[in-house]
Amino acid sequence: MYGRLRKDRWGQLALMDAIVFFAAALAVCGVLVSYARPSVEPGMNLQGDSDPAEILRVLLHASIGRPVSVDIEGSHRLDGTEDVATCIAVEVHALSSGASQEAFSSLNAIILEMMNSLCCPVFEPFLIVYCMYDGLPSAILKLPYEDPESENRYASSADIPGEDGNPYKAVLVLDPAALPELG
Amino acid sequence: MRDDCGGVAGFFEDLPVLMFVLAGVFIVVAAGVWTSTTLETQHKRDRLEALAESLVDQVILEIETRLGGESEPTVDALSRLNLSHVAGGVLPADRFSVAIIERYPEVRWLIHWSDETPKSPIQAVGAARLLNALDENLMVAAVEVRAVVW
Repeated sequence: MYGRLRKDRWGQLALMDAIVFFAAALAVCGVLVSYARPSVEPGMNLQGDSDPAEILRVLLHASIGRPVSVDIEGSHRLDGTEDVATCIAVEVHALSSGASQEAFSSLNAIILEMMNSLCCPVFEPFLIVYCMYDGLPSAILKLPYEDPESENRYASSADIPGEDGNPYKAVLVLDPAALPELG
Repeated sequence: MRDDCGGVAGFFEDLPVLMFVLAGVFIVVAAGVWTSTTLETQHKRDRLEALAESLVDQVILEIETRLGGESEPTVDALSRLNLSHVAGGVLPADRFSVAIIERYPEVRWLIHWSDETPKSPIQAVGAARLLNALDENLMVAAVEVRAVVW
């Protein structure tokens, strides 16, 4: 270094080194940020009112809570102490015998209310009962009637012995419809 | 001391270089601080989550041991339960709050116990379990045990 003004291209070399250093710093920064990025994976720690298995277990054993009448073969009255599994068994037996789901609208409204009260508000619960004895499983009861929308859903199933002795499978699906998009 | 223009030219040539170097150092330091803070927060949250889950599991175990047996525990017995001593065996030095809440057919607060109320902003983590219990009308109710640890 002689302190003289130089008019060649060597002065650019230091700037090039700095740019390379800056690029390397950016790369290091990217690695650090990606390493410590919070892992937001819904469903990895489902429990309590977010765990479909737990909700389904408690739901099937819980009483419907208030008297309700169903309109099959005359009027049939449930006094409210029956558990949900028994009520579903009665309903799917009637549905497979040709009864209309309209006859169970009061009961279905109660089961829906129970599902919503047990489920975490960020999930929308769906209960689907499959008939397992006639070839491929077919959905015989859906509460609510429409299908879940999200691609990522959480589900659990339990067997329900039918009144007619045939096996049914109840599937509870939790649809994170209300969750914001997670990156 | 030299009286020529060489030093001035060198100084201004190096300013962009200095800017790049300082910016590079700054973003590396900032990323390092952010990463260590995030990892520490995650580590603390994971620890609290594990504690909250084990506290709820222990409370459920106590309920099953004391009130369980052949049938479900009663809502009345749950509302008179005090299991605050369970937390002492699970939590090393953390604060806690445990609540038992009926979710169906009624929504009501059955019992709550905790050690103390937080006075400053905290990082709190919760865990919950659902169980069935027999209410006073002989209905099988749905009850939630929820623990918050901080």
